[in-house]
Amino acid sequence: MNKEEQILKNRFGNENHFTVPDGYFEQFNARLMEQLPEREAHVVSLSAWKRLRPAMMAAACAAGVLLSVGIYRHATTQETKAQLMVQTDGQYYYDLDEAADYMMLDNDDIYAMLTN
Amino acid sequence: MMNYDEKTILKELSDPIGQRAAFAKVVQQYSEQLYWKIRHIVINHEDANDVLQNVFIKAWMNLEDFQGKAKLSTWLYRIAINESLDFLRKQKTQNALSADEDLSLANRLLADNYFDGDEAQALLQEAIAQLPDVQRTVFTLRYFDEMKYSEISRHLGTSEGALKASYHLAVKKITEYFRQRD
Repeated sequence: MNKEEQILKNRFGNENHFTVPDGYFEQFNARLMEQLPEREAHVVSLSAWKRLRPAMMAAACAAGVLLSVGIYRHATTQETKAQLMVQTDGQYYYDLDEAADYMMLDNDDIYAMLTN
Repeated sequence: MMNYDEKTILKELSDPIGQRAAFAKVVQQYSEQLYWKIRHIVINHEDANDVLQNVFIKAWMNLEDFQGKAKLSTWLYRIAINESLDFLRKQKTQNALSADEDLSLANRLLADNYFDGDEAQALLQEAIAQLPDVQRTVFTLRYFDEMKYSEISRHLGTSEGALKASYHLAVKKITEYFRQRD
């Protein structure tokens, strides 16, 4: 704080000397809500690219998961296949669950991710 | 005390069905703090009430403009400050056209039921009212609300350096105003 500001604060302080009528804020809130006009249901329009981007991201993730699972399964030997069948089926379903999670993100979550 | 969670409120505001109820919570949460910001700028209670209503109606009608990149409070404060400054500009135009300003601001405040300060406080408000509008806004936000420069910068969209310069100039002018009176 500089000297002049200090002088002002010493002389006048900085308290609030404005007041309001009793119950003003409670009444204000109710009055305002009564006055608020109706809004038309409005869908925020995005460009085609922005609209499709979340779905494309989810589709790309799902395709990547499925492709890697497919390659992994194909690369295993006959001997361990039976054993692996149990494991990879579990993995397959787990990866599918993850992909499904991505695809089930609702729009608000996706928009929040995009704007962060 | 109402439970206010901004994330939840933003989600509800984006849904046309729950929008009005969510906006009521926003009004409840922010009306008082916005009112005082406005009041310090426009001085008179009735004027502050009008400006505050305009702020919320504007926010309600332009919800789509709030993209969630900043906090809701920052967006509302920005509307409030802009509406207050618009009000001051209109008031100046009306005062220039009418010859009704016989009483000084200090005397009008002392006669005002919604001002409980003494003559010194009233004169301080008069000195502040002499400042250019934006400088007056910066001064009141910093001096009375003790807002950080970083916060003022977000509300006004002005650099912190410019705000510091504006504030110090305002302090100098007010000091000079009283030096000449004393």
